[in-house]
Amino acid sequence: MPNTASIILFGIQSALRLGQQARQAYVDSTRNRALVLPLPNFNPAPNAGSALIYYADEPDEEIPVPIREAVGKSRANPENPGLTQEESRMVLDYYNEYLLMRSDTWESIVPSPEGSFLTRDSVAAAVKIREWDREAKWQGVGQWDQEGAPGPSPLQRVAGTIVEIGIDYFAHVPGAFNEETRQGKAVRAVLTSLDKVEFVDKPLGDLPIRLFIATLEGVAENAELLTSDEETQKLISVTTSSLASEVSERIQQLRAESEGRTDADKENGIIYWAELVFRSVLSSGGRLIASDPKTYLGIDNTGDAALVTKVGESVIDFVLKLPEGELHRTFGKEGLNVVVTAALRAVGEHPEIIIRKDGNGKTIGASADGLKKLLSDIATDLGNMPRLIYRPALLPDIARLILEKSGENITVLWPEFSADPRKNLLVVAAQKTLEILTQKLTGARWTPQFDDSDLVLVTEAVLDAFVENPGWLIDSAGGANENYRVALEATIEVLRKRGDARLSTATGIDILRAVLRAVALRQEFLEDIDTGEKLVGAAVEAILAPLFPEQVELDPKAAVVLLRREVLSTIVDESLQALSRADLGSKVLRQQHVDDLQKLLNEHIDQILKGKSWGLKVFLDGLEKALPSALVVNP
Amino acid sequence: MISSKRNTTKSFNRVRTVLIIGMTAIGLLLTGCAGVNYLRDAQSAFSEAARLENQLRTSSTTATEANDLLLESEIRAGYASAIASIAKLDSAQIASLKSDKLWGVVLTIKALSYWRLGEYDKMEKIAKQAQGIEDQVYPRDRALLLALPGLRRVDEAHAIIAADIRGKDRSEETKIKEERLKTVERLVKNATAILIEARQSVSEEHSVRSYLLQSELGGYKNLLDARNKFRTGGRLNPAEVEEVKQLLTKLDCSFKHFLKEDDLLVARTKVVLAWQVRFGLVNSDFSCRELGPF
Repeated sequence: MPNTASIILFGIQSALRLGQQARQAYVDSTRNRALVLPLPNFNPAPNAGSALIYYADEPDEEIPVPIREAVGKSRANPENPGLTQEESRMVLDYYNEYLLMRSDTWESIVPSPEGSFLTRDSVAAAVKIREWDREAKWQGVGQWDQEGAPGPSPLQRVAGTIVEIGIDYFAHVPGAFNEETRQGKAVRAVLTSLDKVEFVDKPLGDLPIRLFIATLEGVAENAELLTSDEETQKLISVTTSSLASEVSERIQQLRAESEGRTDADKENGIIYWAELVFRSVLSSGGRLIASDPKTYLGIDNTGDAALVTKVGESVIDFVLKLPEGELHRTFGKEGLNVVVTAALRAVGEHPEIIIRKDGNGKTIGASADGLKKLLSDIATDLGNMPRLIYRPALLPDIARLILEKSGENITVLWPEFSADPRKNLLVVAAQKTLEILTQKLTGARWTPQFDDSDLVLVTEAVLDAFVENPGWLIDSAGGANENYRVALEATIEVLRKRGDARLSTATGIDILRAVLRAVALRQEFLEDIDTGEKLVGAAVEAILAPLFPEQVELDPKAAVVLLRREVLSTIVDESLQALSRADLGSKVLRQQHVDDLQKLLNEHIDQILKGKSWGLKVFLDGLEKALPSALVVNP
Repeated sequence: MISSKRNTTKSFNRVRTVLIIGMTAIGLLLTGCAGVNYLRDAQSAFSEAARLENQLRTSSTTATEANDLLLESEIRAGYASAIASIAKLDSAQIASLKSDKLWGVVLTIKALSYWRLGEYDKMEKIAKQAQGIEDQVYPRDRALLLALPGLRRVDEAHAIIAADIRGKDRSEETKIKEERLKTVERLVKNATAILIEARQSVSEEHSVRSYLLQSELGGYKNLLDARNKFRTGGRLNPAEVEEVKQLLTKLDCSFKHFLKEDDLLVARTKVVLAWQVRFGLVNSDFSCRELGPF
């Protein structure tokens, strides 16, 4: 066994050898140690020059049209092509967007610090939208003739704005945007429909943006009406495409009429009304359509001919036909809602207004011509009445009445929905009624201020008369005869002559309605009595003369009882009804009944003045005795 | 029994003594490595700074300006730290490093650090010193020292492009732009020649070639930027594009020489493609054919 000293010496030698080896290894590793080397300074981002190198070798048809000229300049003189800053920027934009669209390079260009949430698809979509936006702007400066520009569709032109609005909207609305929500589906429906519009180069203005916003707001505001996703989508879809086509056609027509000139005000007006119609269909029409979607949305498979779309077209026609000026300016959303709802109800109850069938009952098409004509007549005939100009709220209600009443007796009042060039009888009747009621007469005792609701009530009574008894109001040629006018004028004349401040407008309306109800029952009301007056006027005169004597005022004791609205209205109504049941076969008889009626009124005034007990029942009993029923009533 | 126990105790003590002696000897020897340690510190500082700098230049993530400024100061501190580590060497340590033939490595790190700090005079002085110790300069460092004037010119070209242009009127500005463009063109041309020479000083298999090729491409990118900035929409002419294409193919070949499998794939899909993007050559194929299929 080696001794300790040997071991120590061996140890020292070993350590020295080991140390030298280790040190040499340490030195070697240091010499060979890998270094990370810094690249010299350069800008790693591609520039317009990079883009031009890329496009230089691309076939012309692959180069985006807006930068072809710039690429051409670069090919001719690569080092100094003389591009403008704008051209240079655009070339680089296209190149960057191309890189973003490629699967292998898009990650190299991240458009925002928050880019981590972006998917490749979303980046591609954003790029595509920017591309459309640029192409639209570029086309706006007129580089190409109308045929040659391979540009974005109307929807694509405004896609950037729509995205901005959408982002802004959903940033302020609870819940993230999701395509599966009702709003998401509605948005998809409106955008899909707009994109299907085939008028690529046709004018739509900012209609797509307006409809997009209207959809967002409409769906949010009318959630309870738009109950079914599928129906809502279809409603939005068919209305959108129909309105887009309608607007495009109308603007083109406008330009054609102006020999190509653009009238921005008129074009914007068309777009404005289309948007309002769209909103109205969504809000006012939503409930109706939800109640019967098959009828309103499903005339045919394409949806193009859906009732709702025809109504939309017709209502646009209606508002555009309104005379320019005050009425046009003040006719707003509320009025439009009334017309849209009434039109939808009318065509829903009578689809035959729109739908055309062959002899076998098979649907062969749809036409809104009849509805358009009716609404157009309302707009032009009533809209042009001077005294209606400052009554924008009246027109929609009259239109509603005409639509409703036409539907109630459609075969007589609106026999041909499209072919008949004549005006709808009720339009004529309404027009004449309003004319009579709003006529200003000087020197009259009674000068009532009919408000809109008064005018609507009387007009409704006139139209009801047509509906209930069209026979004597329509002449042999199918037009409206003068009977209703005569009745109205005769009554109004008496009211103006007899009435005073104690005859309220409301009572006057009651009397007019009572007269119209009566004349609808007996044509003889429009015949003469012995004095040459019409029975209707004479009868009203017979009632009012004792109550409103010419020289003196009725004794307050009687006035307080008899001039109350409910009493006076009942007296007139019941008296006329009693007359309608009486024998009116001759002038003499008619005169006799009028005299009897006046006598009866005078007797009852006397009774009241003498302090005897009086009530309507007392009067009605007396009336039955004075004007007994004939055997033949209601011919 | 007692005798056996005593023998065991003796043996243990001997072994322990040998170990203590051995460890002491190694410790003493390694104490003589302090100079190498300083060099290693310098290498580490330099590599870290270079890593940060390359990251700053080529990263696709968008950083804020403030972050960039912080990073830049960190990078400069890294290069300064490398120089500081070398400055700590005393004469004995320098002698030891020279004796170990590490002096060339020291000078290379120092010269590279001065380059990155923009202290070109010091960089050249150090590079000249290295020329006097040929036997201590190895292929990579030789190539880098040769390349330094070219790398400097690439930086100078970039500085010219980045500088503001202030002329009293448009025509004077145009004149300034043309002059600057000519300067950049001259600098890049000289840089390219120098970098080619440096590249040719090493074998085709050497990994430093890929660095030098990218430095050349950096020069061409500066030329492209200058053309585009000083002449709106200007770019490389077809001959220059052809040279860039050749460089890209050579870069692919270079990677193929020293990288394998995933590393090679990353180099091609990230590094080569990034250069393609910078030069608008994304649709071309620069695969190295001479070394067989990928």
